[in-house]
Amino acid sequence: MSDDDARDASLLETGRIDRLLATYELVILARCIKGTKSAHDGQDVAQDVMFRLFREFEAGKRYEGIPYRVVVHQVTKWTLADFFAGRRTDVPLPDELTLAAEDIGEGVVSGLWLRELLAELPERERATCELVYVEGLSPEQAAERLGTTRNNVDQRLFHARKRLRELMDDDG
Amino acid sequence: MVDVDRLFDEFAAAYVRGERPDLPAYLARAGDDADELARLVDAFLQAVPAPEPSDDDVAVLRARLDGEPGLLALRTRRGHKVDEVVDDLAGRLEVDDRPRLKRYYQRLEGGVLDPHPVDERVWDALRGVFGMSVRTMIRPLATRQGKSAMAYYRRTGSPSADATPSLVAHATPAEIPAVADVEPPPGERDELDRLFLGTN
Repeated sequence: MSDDDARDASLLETGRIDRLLATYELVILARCIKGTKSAHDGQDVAQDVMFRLFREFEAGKRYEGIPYRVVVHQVTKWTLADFFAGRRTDVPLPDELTLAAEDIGEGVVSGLWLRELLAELPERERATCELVYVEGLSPEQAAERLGTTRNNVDQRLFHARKRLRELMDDDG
Repeated sequence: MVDVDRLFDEFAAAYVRGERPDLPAYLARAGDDADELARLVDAFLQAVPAPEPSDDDVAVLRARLDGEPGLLALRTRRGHKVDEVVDDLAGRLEVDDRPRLKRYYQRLEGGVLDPHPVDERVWDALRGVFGMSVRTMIRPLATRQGKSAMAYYRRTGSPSADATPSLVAHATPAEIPAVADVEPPPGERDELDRLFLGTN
């Protein structure tokens, strides 16, 4: 279990469901916007997902042994499917959570694989990407830190994005 | 056209710094490439640890779960008066008709104005006022009865304050103007109307 999974489990255990939901709010929104291909519909469906997660977990539902981020992923998937099928999106969740093969394949279950992705890159590219995608520096700040040009930083970031795009394509 | 890669880098860096970047605003800036940016952002967010939310983020979410509009919760938590926010907003939007701006703001804050048609300039201005994106916190997540607020909104359209007392009345410090007071039909809208109601 990763540190983040342990943090999530602890929040759930201590009833801090609001903090847990706030942690994943943007993750849910991005998945819903991507799924609906609409910023407006995505925001509405994300509301449904948040409400559903809150109501069920507040009522004591737990998917023992499954990390919370995986539950978020699955509930988002269910809710998007309900949305597209024109079904109600506020009905209770299933008692069992069975992960589909594609979920396991896309890295949701293993989780937090950015460092693995970066590890595939040559040293200079990896260091550059870590500054931007892990530490949150702007490309200009990264260039200054590394003593190189903004153009060089852009080229190095390009490779990480290329890898992300490949993973997106794998994900469909 | 804005470069999707640059938008992505900007978004990703802000996210891992623990900020709450306004994803719909980034997508609007991406124009025709919004779908590609959405896919890239989604893949990235699945791949990195989710940063700890701020206390403001949690408090606003808690309020929304309790049936309160998030922007109202944020303003009261910050200790701002409505008039202070409206004054700031009027300056940022360069709006002269302050009374009408106040009515629109109160309806938005009260969760009774559909947030989707609201212009990007309003969201930008509100981000300036509050120092964080407020776009996705407008609507409560639940009604006071613990039902899905989204299901309620879908059933009723964009509700007026007088039609939804169970949803917002308890949380609204001042009367929220009824729809008829502030919503002219599309053909009769001026610039201020279009900022909050859109053109359609």
